Amino acid sequence: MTRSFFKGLTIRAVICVILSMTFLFSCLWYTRSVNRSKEQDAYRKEYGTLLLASKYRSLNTDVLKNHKDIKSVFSAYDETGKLIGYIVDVETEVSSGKIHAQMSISENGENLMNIRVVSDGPEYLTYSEEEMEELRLQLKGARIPVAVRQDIASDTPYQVDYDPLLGLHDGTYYARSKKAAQDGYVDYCEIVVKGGRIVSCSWDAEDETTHKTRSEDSISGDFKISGNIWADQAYRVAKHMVLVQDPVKLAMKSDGKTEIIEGVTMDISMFVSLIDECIANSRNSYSKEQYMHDHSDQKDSEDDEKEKDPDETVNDNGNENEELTPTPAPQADPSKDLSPTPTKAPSQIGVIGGEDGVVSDGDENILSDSVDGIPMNEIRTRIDGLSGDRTRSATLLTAVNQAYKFIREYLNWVG
Amino acid sequence: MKKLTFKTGFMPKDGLDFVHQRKFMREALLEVCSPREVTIPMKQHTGTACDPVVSPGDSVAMGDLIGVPADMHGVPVHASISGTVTKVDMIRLPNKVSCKAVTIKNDLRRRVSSKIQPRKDVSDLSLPQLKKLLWTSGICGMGGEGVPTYTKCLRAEKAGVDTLLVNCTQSEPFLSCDLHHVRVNPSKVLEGAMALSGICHVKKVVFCIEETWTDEIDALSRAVANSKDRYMDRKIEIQLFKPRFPQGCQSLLIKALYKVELPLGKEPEEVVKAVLFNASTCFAFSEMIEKNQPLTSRIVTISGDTITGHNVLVPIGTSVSEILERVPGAHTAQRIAWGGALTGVALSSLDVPIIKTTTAITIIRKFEPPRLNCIHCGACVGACPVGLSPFLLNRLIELGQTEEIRNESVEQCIACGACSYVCPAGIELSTNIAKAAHRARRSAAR
Amino acid sequence: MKRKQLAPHIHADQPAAERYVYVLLALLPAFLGAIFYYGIRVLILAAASMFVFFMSDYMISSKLYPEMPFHVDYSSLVSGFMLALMVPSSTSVWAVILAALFGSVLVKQAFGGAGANIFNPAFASRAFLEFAFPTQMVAAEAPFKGIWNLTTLLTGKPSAESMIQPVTSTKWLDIFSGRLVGMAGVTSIVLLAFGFLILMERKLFRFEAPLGYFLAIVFGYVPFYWDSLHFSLFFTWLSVGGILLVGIFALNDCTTMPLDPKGRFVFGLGAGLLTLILYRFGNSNYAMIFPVLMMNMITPIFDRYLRPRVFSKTAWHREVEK
Repeated sequence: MTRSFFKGLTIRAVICVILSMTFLFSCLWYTRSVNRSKEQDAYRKEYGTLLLASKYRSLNTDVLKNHKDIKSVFSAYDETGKLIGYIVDVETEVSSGKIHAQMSISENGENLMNIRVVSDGPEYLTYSEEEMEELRLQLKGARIPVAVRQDIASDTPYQVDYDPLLGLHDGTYYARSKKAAQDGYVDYCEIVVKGGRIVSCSWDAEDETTHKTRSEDSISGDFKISGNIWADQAYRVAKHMVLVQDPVKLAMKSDGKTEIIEGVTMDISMFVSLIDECIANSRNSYSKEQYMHDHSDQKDSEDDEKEKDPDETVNDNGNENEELTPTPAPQADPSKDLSPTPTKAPSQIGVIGGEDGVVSDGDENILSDSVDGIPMNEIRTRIDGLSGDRTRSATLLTAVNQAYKFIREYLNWVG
Repeated sequence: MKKLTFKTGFMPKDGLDFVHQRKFMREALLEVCSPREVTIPMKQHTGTACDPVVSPGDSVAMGDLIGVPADMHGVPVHASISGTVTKVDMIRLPNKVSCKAVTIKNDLRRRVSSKIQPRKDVSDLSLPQLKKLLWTSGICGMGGEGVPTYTKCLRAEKAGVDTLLVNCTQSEPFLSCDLHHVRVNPSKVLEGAMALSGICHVKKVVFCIEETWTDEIDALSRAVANSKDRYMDRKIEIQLFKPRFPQGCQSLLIKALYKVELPLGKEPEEVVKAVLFNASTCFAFSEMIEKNQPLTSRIVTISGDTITGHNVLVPIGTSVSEILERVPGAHTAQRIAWGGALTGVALSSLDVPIIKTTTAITIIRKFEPPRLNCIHCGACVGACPVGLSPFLLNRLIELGQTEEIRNESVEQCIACGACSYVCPAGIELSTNIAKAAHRARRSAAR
Repeated sequence: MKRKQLAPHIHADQPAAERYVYVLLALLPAFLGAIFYYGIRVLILAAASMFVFFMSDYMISSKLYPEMPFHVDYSSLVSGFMLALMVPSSTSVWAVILAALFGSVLVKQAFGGAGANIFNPAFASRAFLEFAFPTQMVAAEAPFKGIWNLTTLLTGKPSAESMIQPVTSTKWLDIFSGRLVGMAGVTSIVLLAFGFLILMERKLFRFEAPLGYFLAIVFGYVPFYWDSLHFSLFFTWLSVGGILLVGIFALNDCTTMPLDPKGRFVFGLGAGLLTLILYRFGNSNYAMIFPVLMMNMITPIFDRYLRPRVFSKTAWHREVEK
C-alpha cells in the first residue's frame, strides 16, 4: 500500500461521495418539488373558487391556540410571491347547531372576499344556493367584522353612526387641567365641532417644568407607561371619542379605565373630565381663544382655583388645529414585547347580540355593545342579511367574525 | 517502404503498463566509459568456451586476440582495452556460466591493434572474405541470446533462407541500446545487415521496429532511401510492430510476421526461411567491415525506475561497479539487474563484467511487490504470450508433479517474466516456471 | 538474510490488496444510497458483517493454513460489505453475524482459504440467511421510514406497516434513484453504475461475464415476460431484483469466476438465464442469489477445459535439433 495508492484512493472516495450525495439529494429535491406542486394543485382545486392563487401555504402560528374554532388557515400568494390573501376554515358552534365555513380574506385582513359553507353532517347548518348567493352579494368585499344591521335605515350603509350630543355649537373648544397630574404633566383637551358633531378631538399634556408634551416624551421614551405608548393610547381614545360622540359611551369604569377601546389600557379619567368640560364649553360656545385668554391670566396665580367663564361667546374659526398630529408611529414598536390587548370578549362563544343593544356580559354591564365578542364600534360593515331570517344570517356572520378575530390577533402579532 | 502496423496475435497488453511509464527512455545520450580494468570471460556466447592465448604479464592492445575458439561453435575473444594482463582465472557469471576470464589492467595509452585500420574499398570484398571477417570478428548475437553469428549464417545458408530480419524492436522496458545505433548510425546498421544478407544469400531484408520509436523509424527510412542505389538487387523493408512485450522474442516475432508458431527446437531458418539478427550485431559487423574492428565494445543502457537513463559505450569486460560509479543513487538501489528489468538477473555483487550479450544495467530503487496467496484472478493467463497457465504450473511445481507439468507444455515458456509482472499477489511465477521449462527442455533433448 | 532476488524486477501497479479496496470503493455509492434511504442501520450491519468476516477469516486461516504467507486478505472485507448491501435494512444484527460466520468459515476457509473458494462467500451467506431467517429477508422497510427509528435500530424489527409492498411505482425517478423498497443496497441503478465507472477506471472490470449476463437478461426478458411487457416495469424489475449488483460486482469477483474469457462469458449467460427462470417460475426470493452460486459450481469445469491454446501445441513432438 503505497502512499500514491492512498492518495488516489482518497481522491476517488471523495469524488464518489460527492457524486452520490449530489445524485441522491437532487432526486429527493425533485421528488419533493413534484409532490409540492401536486399538493398545490390539490389546494387550488379545493380553494380556488375562494381565492385563486399560485401558491398556498399552511399557516402555523401560536395564535391559533387562542382560537379553537379556526380549523386551518392558508396564506395565498401570487406568482411573484406577493401575499394576496388568507383562506380561513372556521367551524363554530352556535345555539342552533354547527356551522363550517371557508372564506377568503384580503391580505390586510380587512375585507372578506368570498365565502362558502360546508356541511359535514346533519347537525351542520346549511344554506341553499340562492341564500348563499344573496349573502355573498352582500358580503363580497365587505370590511370585516360584519353584523346584521339593526332595522334602522342609515345614510351611509358602510359607516356606523353614533348620534351626536345635542346642543353643541360649531367651533374649537379647549379644556385644561387646573393642576398638574402626579407625573408632572398638565393635561389639556381640545375638540372641534362642525355641524353639531364632534369631528376631531385631541388630548395631550404639557410638562410644567420642561414644557415638553407628554406625547413627545412618550415617543422619545422619556415617558413610559404599560401597554402602548401614551401618545398612541391618547390618540386612540381621542379617535374613539370622535366616533361615539358621547363620553359616556367610552364606558369608563370606576377605576378610570375602559375596556372597549382597543389598545387603550391606561386611566382615561382625566380625559373624560376634560372632554366633559369641552362639551360644556361647546354648549356654551366658550371658544378656545376665550378660554386661553382667560386662563393665561390665571396662570400666574396657581393657588387660585379658576373657574371657566362660560358666558363668553367666541367666533369660531376653527382654523388653528392644535390637534394632535397623529404620532408618526402609532403602531407598536417591534422591540417592545407587545401582546395584543384583546378587548374583553364575551366569555361564552356565540352570544349573539340579538338586538345590538345591551348585552349582559359576566359581571359588568358594558354599555357599549358587542357582537360575537367584537365591540360594536369595531364592526365595520352592517348587512341586511337574508330577508326575514336574521338568525341564520347572523350565524354565518359569526363564522366570519371568528375568522376576523383570528386575523386581527395574527396580524397584530405579526406586526 | 513502410507497411502499416498489424496485430501480433496473442500478446499481453493488460497490466503491462511500463510502456507508458515516464522513465521509459526515449532520448539516448552516449557516454564513453574508460575503465580501469576489464575482465573478459572466455564464454560470452552459446557454444563452447574459448581458450585464452595470453598469460599474465602480457601487454595487449585493443583488438588483440586473447581467446581462440575451441571449435566451430565458438567465437574469438578480443581485448577491449590496451593494457597489461593481470590474471587469467575462473569466473562465474550471473547467468550461471563458469569459464576462464582474462583480466586486463588499463594502461591508459589507448593503443590500438595494428590490424585495425580503415578499409580502403568496402565494396570490393568478396563473399569468402566477408565470411572470414565474420568469423574473426568475434560477433555473437548481441540481443541476449549470444548465438555465434557465423554459425547462424552457416545454418541459414544451408537452410536456404530468403529473408533476413533485423530486430530493432527493443520491447523490454527501459532499454535503448539497439535504438541508439538505429537512430545515430542507421547507415552502418544497414551496411552490416546488407553484408550479412550477402553471406546468407538473401534478397529481402526486413527491419522490424516498434511503431513508437518514431525518431528511429525516420532515421532508418532516410538511410534506406539514401542507399537504395547501392543495394539495387536487394529488397529492403521496414515493418512496424505494435509496442508489446515481449515482441522482440524470436518465436513471437516470427509468429507476428509469418503467423507460424515455431515448434520447440526448430529454428526459423528451417521453418519460415528467415534468419533473425539483432541490430547491434549488424552494427558490429559493419565496424568490422569498415575498420577491421572486432567486437570490443558495446552500448549498454543504464536505466531504471528513478533515474533518467542514458547509454554508455562500454568496453567488453568492464565491471558493473565501475560503470555505476558515476551514476547517482546506484548504491542505494534495492536491486541492480544485469540485463533488462523483466529478464535480467539481480546482482548480489557488483564485480560482474559486461559481456557481449549484456544489453543494460537496470537500477531499481524501490521494488515492493505484494506478497499474497494466489487469488485465482487469471491475470497471469491473460499475460502469458505463449498461452500457458502460470498459476496452474506454479501450483504443480509446488506439488512436485513433473509429469503433469510436461503435459501442460511447460517447455514453451520463454521466460519473459510477464506473468510475475502482472500477478496481483506477487507470486514468483516466472522464475519457477522458467526453471521447470529449462529442465523439461533439457530432459527432452536427451 | 535477504530473499533471493528473482526476476522480474518491476511490477505492475495493481497488487491484490489495492484491487479489493477499490472494489470496496466502487460499492461506496450504493452504500451511501442505502444509508440515505434506510438510515444508520445499514452502517451498523455493514460494520458487523465486515468485522466478523475479517476476524474469522484471519483467525481460522492462521490456524488451518500456517504455511500460507499471509492471512490478511481484504477480499473478506469485500464479502462482508456486499452482504450488508444485500439484506433488508431491518435484518437483525445477529442474523448477519451468523451468516458472516457461515460464509467465512464454511464456504471460504473450509475450501482452502482466501483465493481457493469455489462459492462466492457473500452470496453463500445471503443464501444462508434466506434459509435460516426467511421472514426477515422479506420484511423490508420502506425508504425513509426507519432512518432514525430507534427500535428498528436496536432490534431490527420493522414497523408493522412497512412490510414489503408490491412494487407499484413506475416513475423513472423512483426506479433510478433507488426509492423502491428492496434490499438495502441493490435498488439504485445509478449508484451502482457509479461503482461500475470506478471499476472501469481502475481497469478492474472484466467485461465478459457481465456482458453475457446482461445479454441474457435483456434478450431473455422478452420471451419470459411476454405477457407483461412494459419498458418501465423492466427497469423496476432490474432495480428491485438486484440485477445490477450481481452483474457488476458478483461477476467481477476474481476468485470464483472462470479464468478464461470464454468461460466467463458462458458463466454470465448461464447466470442470466437462470435468474430469469427463477424470477419467472420460481420463488423470487432466491432468484438473485442462486444463479451465481449455481454457476460457481461449474467454474472449476470451465477452468479445466476452457484454457487458452498453448503456443505450438505440437511442442513435445519436436525433433531433436542437429
